[in-house]
Parts: sequence; structure tokens; C-alpha cells
Amino acid sequence: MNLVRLERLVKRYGDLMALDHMELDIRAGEILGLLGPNGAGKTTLIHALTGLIAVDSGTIELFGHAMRPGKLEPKRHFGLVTQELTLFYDLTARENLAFFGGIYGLKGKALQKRVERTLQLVGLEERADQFPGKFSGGMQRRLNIAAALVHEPRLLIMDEPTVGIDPQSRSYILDTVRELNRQGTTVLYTTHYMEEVQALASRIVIMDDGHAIANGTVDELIARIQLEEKLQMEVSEPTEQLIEQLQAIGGVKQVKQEGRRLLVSIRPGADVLEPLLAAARTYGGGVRYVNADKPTLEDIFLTLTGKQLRDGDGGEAE
Amino acid sequence: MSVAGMMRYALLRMARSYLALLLLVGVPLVLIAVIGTVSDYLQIERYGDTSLPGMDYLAVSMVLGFQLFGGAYTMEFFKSDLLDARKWRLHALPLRIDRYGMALLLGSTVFTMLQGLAMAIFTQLMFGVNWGNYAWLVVVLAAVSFLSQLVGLVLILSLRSAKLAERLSEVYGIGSMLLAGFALPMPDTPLFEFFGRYGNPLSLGQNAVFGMLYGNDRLLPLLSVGLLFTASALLLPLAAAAGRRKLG
Repeated sequence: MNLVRLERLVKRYGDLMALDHMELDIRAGEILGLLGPNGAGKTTLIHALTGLIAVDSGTIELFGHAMRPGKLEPKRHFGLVTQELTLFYDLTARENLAFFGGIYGLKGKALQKRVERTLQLVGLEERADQFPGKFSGGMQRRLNIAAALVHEPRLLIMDEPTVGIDPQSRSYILDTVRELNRQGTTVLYTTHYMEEVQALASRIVIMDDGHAIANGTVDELIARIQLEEKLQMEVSEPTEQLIEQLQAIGGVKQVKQEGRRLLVSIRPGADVLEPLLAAARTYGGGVRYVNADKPTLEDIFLTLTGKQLRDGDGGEAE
Repeated sequence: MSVAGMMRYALLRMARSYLALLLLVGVPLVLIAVIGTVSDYLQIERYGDTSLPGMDYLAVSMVLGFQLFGGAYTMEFFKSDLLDARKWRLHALPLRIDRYGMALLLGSTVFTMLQGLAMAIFTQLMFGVNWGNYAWLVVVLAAVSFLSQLVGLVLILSLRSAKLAERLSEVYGIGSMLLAGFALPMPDTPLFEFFGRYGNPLSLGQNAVFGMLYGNDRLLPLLSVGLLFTASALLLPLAAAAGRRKLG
């Protein structure tokens, strides 16, 4: 079942086409990782999805309701975690959550209960009556997430939620996202940290130039893109004859030598490990070390967009 | 959440804005204490042949004068919540932004009024300043404060630069004090006489308080408060239009 459906979204800023017939579905129960280089249109997409901006054409459907700026009903069902901390620094952690919960119509004991439960979920129950300004960066991030969770939304939209925090807090946040998902919350997760998406997402959408250019699980994307695999091998005597023998093996695309280390590019799906090792033993004086690298999400991203994801970690300028 | 509920959080936040409290409550009280102690022997002539103690004139003028800077609350809260850092977050909530804006505007008005009232009570207890009827004083404070909030609101919603809006709101406050002849004597011309009496919010506030205390009839104080509310009524549609344009 789709919670969100975006169809042929177009948004222009002057000559810039920020969204170019963008299509996206978010299915109930999944963690959807949204990746894209700076300027790909991710932030514009989330602004449109959350009703901050109007699109020029196309439709946005959230939980069966058409979404456009000013429409309140669809907003009751999602929580938004922005990249910037949007806490009230002159309210305590508990008061922050009570404010956000109150906006969603929670009151009295029900509100109190939700606030306590959410503080517990993000591990801030002992700091509930302190002001966020006294918190570490990681704790502020956790409270920022809690503010989006207090009404127990069906969909959690997270825009770069772990920017600039320590590894321990990041790990805590990722565990929290997994736990929420296990409890049934659907998550849309955008980040510059590829390893987070790889660790969390059940499905990935890669955006570039305002539209989706790939959509699937990591394994599906690898299979679809047919990335070459790479093997590193260190031999005792890297002779010319050895390199010629390796290059003659069917499925081997290229062999590069760096001292005693050989970098072998292999066509996708080619089963060449045994012949490579045999040649190395016969013509290279024995194998000292072998390491095979499977293609990563980073490789997929680079292949599809031609860009590094972390070009300028500062976020998008759209 | 109701407007009153949102106002409650706004008031809580304002009560914790310690720098603003220092500037808008601490500074005037210190000025009243220092200048008032020096000038209390003076008798200020006002309202025909009625003279009033220097301390009373100073305290009333200072408390009403600092109400003019209370618009800083509205400007700061609109800026931080609806124009800058929290803009996207609050727009993504199932929240009518006009109602939230109303809560901020009313919260700032009430908070500034409470500051004025606290200062009035303090000066009465400490220096024996005669404020007259406190219910009337609340009406006067409400009139001056609401107008000042609206001036701040129109500026922050109309201008691109928040810094410029803040500076202009200060010009409004300081300019009104100058026009009222509070800080410096103004030229003795009909134009300055008119603006010194009816053309600025501080004079209107002074008329409302002193007129009720020492005036021969109630026309002038009622007219003054009426003019303050009329000015607010004229600014309201401007603020609404600017809000629709800037906040969507």
C-alpha cells in the first residue's frame, strides 16, 4: 500500500527546473533512502511533499489526501525532522515536546504520556526539564527527532538528521529509526552519508537533475547497473608473464600493477577467482593477500550521477 | 491547539528572554530611579496650570516610552518562528499560520503590558508615583503596546531585511519620545505642538494617563486612547496583507 504518491511533479525556479516530472511512491512499512548530489532536487521535493511550496504541475497524494500549501489534514499523519535544529531553546525538552504534541491536538494526560514515552525513546528522560541549549549536539538532534515523533506519525520524513554529530549519537539515532520502523513507522530518509542509507534503507531512490534516475534495493541496483567487481591481490614476484596470463583469463577486463599489488577489474558475474589464484601461484611465486570488493552504493551513485555524494557536505543550494 | 494555548508557550518563552527583560524592564527602572531621584524636586507644568511631581512625569513617560520598544518581541518571534530557522518546521505542522501569528502578536501585547504594569506597581511602591486608576492604566498600556506590536509586525513582514526592520522600529520608539518632547524640548511651532500632543503614541499615552489624573474633562484621555486604537485598526489590514504575501 502506498502512503505517498508523487506523479509528474514539476517545479521551476526561473530557468532552473528543480523538479522535472519527478515520480515517487512511498510504501507502508519501508525505509526509503533518498539520495542525490547537491542540487539534485531532494530538498525541493521534501518542501513540496510537506506543503511548504506549491508545485507548478503534477500531483502529490499523502494518505489519500491531495497535498498543497495550506492544507492541514495530510500534515497530521507525518512527522518532519529537518536538517537544521528547530527546537525552542527557551523551552525545556519536555515543554518542546508538549508544544509539538499540542499542535497535533494531544491534550492532558494523553499528551503527558506521549511526551514521556517519546523522551524515553530518544533517551532523554533524565534531561526532560533542561533547556536544549545545555545539551550536546547529539542530544539536541535526538530531541529534534523526538519533536517529530511525539504524535506517533505513520510517516517520518528525515532530512539529513545526523549532520555534524558524534558517532555514538549517530548510532543511537540509526537504532531509533530501525526500532520505529520495526514498530510500523514508514520512513523517508535523505542523507549525504551513503553508509547510513546502505545500513537502513529497504529501498533506495537516487535523484539527479530533478527526477529519479534509479529505484530499488541495493542488490537490485547493483544487478541492474552491472558494475564491474574489483579484486586486489599481492603476489611474491609480480612478473610480466603473470600479468599477461591474468589478462588472458576470460572475464578479466584489466590488470594494473602497483608494486607487488595487482588490481584486477572483473566483468560482472564472471567466475574467475580460481583461475586467478592458480595463475598467481604458477607465475607469481605465490599469493600473499587477496581482497575482493563488491560494488558499493557509492559506486552505484558515482556510476549513475557521475558525482560524489559528499561534494560539499553543507547541503543543497536549491 | 487553541490560540490561547499557543499564547501560553509564547509568554513562557518571553518570560525567559532575560536580555529583553533587562533592556525593557531593568533599564527603564534604573533610569527612573537615577533621574527621578535627581529631578524629583522639579514640578512639571502640564494640563493648564496643573503641576505634577517630576518623578511622576518621568515614571509615566518612561514606562509608556518603553512600551514603544515592546514590538521587538513580535518582530523577534515572527522572525525566528515564521521567517527564519523554524519556518519550514512550523509550516509542516497541521497549524494555521495566521492563528499562530495571532498568538505571537497577542502574546507579545500581553507580555509588554504586564511589563508596564509591573513597572507601574514598582514605581508606586518605591517612589510613590501616582498612576491613578489601574484598570484605566491597563487600557492605556494595551493601546500603546498593541500599536507598537503592529508597527513591528508591519515592518518585519514588509521589509526584506530584518535588520532594517529592527532599526526602523527603534526609530519609531526614539522618534516618538523625541516628538513628545520627553528627551529634548521641541520647537514651539503649531506643527510640533500638534505632533507633540496628538501625533505620536507616547504623547497619546501620556494624555490618557495624565488627562485622567489632572485634566478638567475626560475627552482628551478618551480621545487619545481612541486614536491609539484607531491607528492599530488602520495597521491591522496592512499587517494582514503583508502576512499573506510573506507567510503564504
